[in-house]
Amino acid sequence: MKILGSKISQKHRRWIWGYLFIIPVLLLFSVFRIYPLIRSFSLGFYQWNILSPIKPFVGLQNYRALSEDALFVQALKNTVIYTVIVIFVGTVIALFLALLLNRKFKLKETFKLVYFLPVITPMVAVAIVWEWLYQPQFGLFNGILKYLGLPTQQWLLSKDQALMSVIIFSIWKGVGYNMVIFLAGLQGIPDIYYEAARIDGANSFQRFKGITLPLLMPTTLFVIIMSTISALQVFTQVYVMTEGGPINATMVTVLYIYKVGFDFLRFGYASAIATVLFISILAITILQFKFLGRRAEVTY
Amino acid sequence: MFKKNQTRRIGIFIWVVAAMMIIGCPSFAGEEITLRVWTTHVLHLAREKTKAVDAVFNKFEAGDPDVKILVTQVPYAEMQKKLLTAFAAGVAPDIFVIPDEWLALFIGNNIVEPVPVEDEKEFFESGAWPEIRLCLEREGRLQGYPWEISVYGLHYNKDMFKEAGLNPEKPPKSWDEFRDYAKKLTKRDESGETTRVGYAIRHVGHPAGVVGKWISFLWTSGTYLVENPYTPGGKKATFNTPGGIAAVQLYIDMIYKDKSTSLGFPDPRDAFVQELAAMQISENGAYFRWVTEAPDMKWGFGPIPKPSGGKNATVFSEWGYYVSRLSTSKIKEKAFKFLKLITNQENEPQMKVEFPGWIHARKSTMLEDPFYLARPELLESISTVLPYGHAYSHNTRLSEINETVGLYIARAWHGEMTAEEALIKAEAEVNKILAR
Repeated sequence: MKILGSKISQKHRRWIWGYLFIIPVLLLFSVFRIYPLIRSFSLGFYQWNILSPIKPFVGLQNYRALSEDALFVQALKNTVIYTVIVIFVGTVIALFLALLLNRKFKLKETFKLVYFLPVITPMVAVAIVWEWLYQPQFGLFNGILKYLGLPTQQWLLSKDQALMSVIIFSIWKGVGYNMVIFLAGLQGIPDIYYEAARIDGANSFQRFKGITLPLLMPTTLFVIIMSTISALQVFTQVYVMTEGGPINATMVTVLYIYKVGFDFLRFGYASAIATVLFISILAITILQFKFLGRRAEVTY
Repeated sequence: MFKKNQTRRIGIFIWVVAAMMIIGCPSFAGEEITLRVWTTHVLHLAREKTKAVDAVFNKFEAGDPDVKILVTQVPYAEMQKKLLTAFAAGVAPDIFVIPDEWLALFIGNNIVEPVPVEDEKEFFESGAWPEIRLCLEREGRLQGYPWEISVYGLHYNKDMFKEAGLNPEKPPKSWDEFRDYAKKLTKRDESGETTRVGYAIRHVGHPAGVVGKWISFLWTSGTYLVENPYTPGGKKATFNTPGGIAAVQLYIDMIYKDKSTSLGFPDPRDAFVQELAAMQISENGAYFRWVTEAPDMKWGFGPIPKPSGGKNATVFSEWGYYVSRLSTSKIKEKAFKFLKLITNQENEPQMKVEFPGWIHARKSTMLEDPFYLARPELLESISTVLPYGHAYSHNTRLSEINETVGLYIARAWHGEMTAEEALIKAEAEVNKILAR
């Protein structure tokens, strides 16, 4: 093949075709991901009301205002509490279920389906259903508590219980997904290690601690990192179930960004918060790779 | 230059492109105008669901066959955001239906086209309630036509009143009576758990709603949220007064001392219609729910109780039809023509046929409404309460003010701070907002 008189080698021809095929995707990615990201960073330096023709450059004023914003601090605190509990409890339960389902027994596939169903059910629909389950007067949960002779709870209407109520829902909704990932990881561990351990007289706990946990580390790292990124960006269930209330007891960072931008029309400030969130997630992910990543490298 | 096959292929390609361009060309037969309407409650414009509404639309189309009306329903929670971003992007509807509490923000951003002066004159000369101006008038001009006209009052369950030994035709008038009635109407089971509250309060959901259901108590104590409340630019919060503190303290005492209300009950209207509450405060338009969801319930409607030495006051609010200033003058002309038709004396009741109990724009129409003919005492209650109506403030920052005040008073009700602390903090935040 010749272009402009010079001969193109087969190697370069392959490159050209390769780039030609990925250019459309790269363009779309640039327009819908990269450009909005850069624009969002830049908006954080402006006082940006979408309806006002005047949008002054304010430098770091928006970022300075964050430290004095009590509601931002509360949203951040709620998000961290939510993330820590959902990751820890959700991961433990998912691993436990995966270990149970890694054995052979009747109706195993049915149980897999039951635990995975919440994952594929639309978030808004199940959040609305759980709102009714949590209803203090007519809800199923208080009905069960009453039947057992236990005191009823206010759940989503209580400033002390609302966040935990949302956390319980989130764990239920997401545990099936992590369970399936752990299951795949467990099935990737060769049986010969367990056989060798049995021959050496190791009991089940020793086999779990010495073989399963270390060899499952890459999967565990993946689950923890992906779940952390997702939890730090929690929005839908909080928006549907509590809208951040009562009295901001369930206000989380992304919901606050939404409120500041779309309720108060302060897009510059909202962009500054979004930038801080982005940097926080990036930093946490890098730290997780650094500290947990070392433990993921296990060979026998 | 080109081989025979290539020439044929190029020729076919040119014909295909030309055909697509011809099909895609706009018709020049006649200029059709589309009036785009955004509303949160599509039922009042759902011609495919209601014959009466369809008949009114047909009347309009008979006179203007080149105008097509396209109605889009937008959920209430999203309406303000969607409208404002649509205006910023230049794709806003021509007519939009919003509550008057948002009007200051929309007028402040130069979005609303006022009603033509001659149409405004005609509207009020036809007998429209003069109180309509409280909400829809700015700088001496009517900004839109009323759709839902609401006056807030105390809804109470007459059977529960009788059961508690109270006169079902005499709702409480003073704060002391109100607290006393609420205590008597509260029910508990053997374990001491409250099964019915005497009064249901709104403490969750959007803070603006929290303020809206409580603000009448603030007004009855002679206090307003901001200075010069009916101008767009008031710069000082004025609610941190003994009257304001008393209005917050009223609920605190009912929750913790009287235990006649609770933070563990759902939205007051839900609680009332489910008979979990004997009294609640909301717009008269809530009758629609009582009639459809609890048709056997006997209920009354009275003025908001006032403190001793206080004045009668209540929320008077309106959802209105507004025309966008950004539409072309031809579209604006058609839009006002359409709105004039659907809100005139003859057609307005037809447009509200799916909403029994709603206030019409003219008292004469209400006197002919079968809903009010069957309930003359209700019409009398509304006529009593209407003159006490106060509109929401016209301040352009009202949304943020309500958000802030609603948050702090709710925190006081949840026991996080005293009423005084709540209003001191809210005042500081609101003054910062007004200074921005």
